[in-house]
Amino acid sequence: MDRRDFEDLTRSVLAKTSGSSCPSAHERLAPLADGDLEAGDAELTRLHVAHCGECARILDVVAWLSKELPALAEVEPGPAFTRDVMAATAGRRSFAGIVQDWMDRARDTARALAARPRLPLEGAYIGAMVVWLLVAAPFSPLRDVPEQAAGLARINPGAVAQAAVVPLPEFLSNPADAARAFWPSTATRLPGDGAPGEITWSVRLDRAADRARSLGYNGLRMTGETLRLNFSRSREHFRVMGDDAKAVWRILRGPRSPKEPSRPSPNTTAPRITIEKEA
Amino acid sequence: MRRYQARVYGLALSYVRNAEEARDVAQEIFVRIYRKLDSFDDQENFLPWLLRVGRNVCIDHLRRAKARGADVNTPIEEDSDWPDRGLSPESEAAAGESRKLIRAALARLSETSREMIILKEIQGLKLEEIASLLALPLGTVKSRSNRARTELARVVLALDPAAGTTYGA
Repeated sequence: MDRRDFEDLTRSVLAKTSGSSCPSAHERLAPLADGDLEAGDAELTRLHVAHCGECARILDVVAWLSKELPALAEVEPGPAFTRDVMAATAGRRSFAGIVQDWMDRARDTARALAARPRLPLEGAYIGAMVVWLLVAAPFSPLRDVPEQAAGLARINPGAVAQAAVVPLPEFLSNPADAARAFWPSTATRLPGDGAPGEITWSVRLDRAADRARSLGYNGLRMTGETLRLNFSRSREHFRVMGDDAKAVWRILRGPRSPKEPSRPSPNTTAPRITIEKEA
Repeated sequence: MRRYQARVYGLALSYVRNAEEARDVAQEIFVRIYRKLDSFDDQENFLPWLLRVGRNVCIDHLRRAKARGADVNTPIEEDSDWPDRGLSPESEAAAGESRKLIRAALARLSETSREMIILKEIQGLKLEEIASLLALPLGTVKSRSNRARTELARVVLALDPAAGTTYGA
């Protein structure tokens, strides 16, 4: 029986009894090469290696790599490298350099903080403290809000949401006036104003604002009906809102100009114009 | 700076695996070190500190490269100047082949194993220093290091079954 047959026999016997011992030996090959294994473990691993060609080969390469790898530590970057680094560090005292310093420090600090295993716990604790300070502490500015909201929701579940939409019609009462308040010359700067016989933009805005008021009113009614779970009535208000929106758009767009006559097809023969050079 | 430039560039090359990018990263490492020198006062542990700063810069660079969608798993392009080890031309050629094989094998390792090889076997940091650098228990670092060395040896053998015997070992 030659060595290879013996190895095969050993491997198949081990596979059918205790399983392959190679994975366990692989864990010990590197410390065996370094001489860091305890005597008993080292002896067992050596016995395994003596009868396993694959592990013996890996052990050889592990030992070879231990000699070769340190040679990769130092690589000369080239002659221009020193000059480039000196040029880069020379501008350190510039404003940009100082800002970069601060950013580096902030990033390092953030990285160090994020690496702490207790960060999620601390974040949750800080979040809970903030919420407590806002709504639960004796001096907190929003102390009464949760109680009021709960009471309101108990009396009328839709009231909280309805309260949120109340300012809407106030804003929509006259958007044209609001626009003029922000930009006094809006009306005069709009294109098309002042042309004889034309409905000016300022008039269109006023009319659109009147119509928009009903849009907001119907929006409020639709919201109220929805909150009261009366979907058929809310759907009706929604339809009216759609009509209002179309009307507002039509007012803003202005009357349509009559269609221009269609252009002649490029295939039709048009009179050819030639320019003759004067003699 | 001249004393450590080959070491810093070697570190950047191991992580970044592209000669041109490694030069930029090594330069950034030196700029970062220059800015942080005021806060460093333990002269005896300068190399571990330098490697710590260097590693952070390399990881930042790789993270940015990944965000750009760049391929960060390519083997190193061999256009670097290696220190003269006083070898004959034949031995130098064999050493070059060895380096190429090892770099190719390193590129196929998992990131964790590759980093263990870079820090422990290539840069020569102690296990305790690596544990502190990576914020890992010492036992974890030790087992990862052993596993990484075996994994590298197996990849080397897969790439070249004659490795370790023909390259001037």
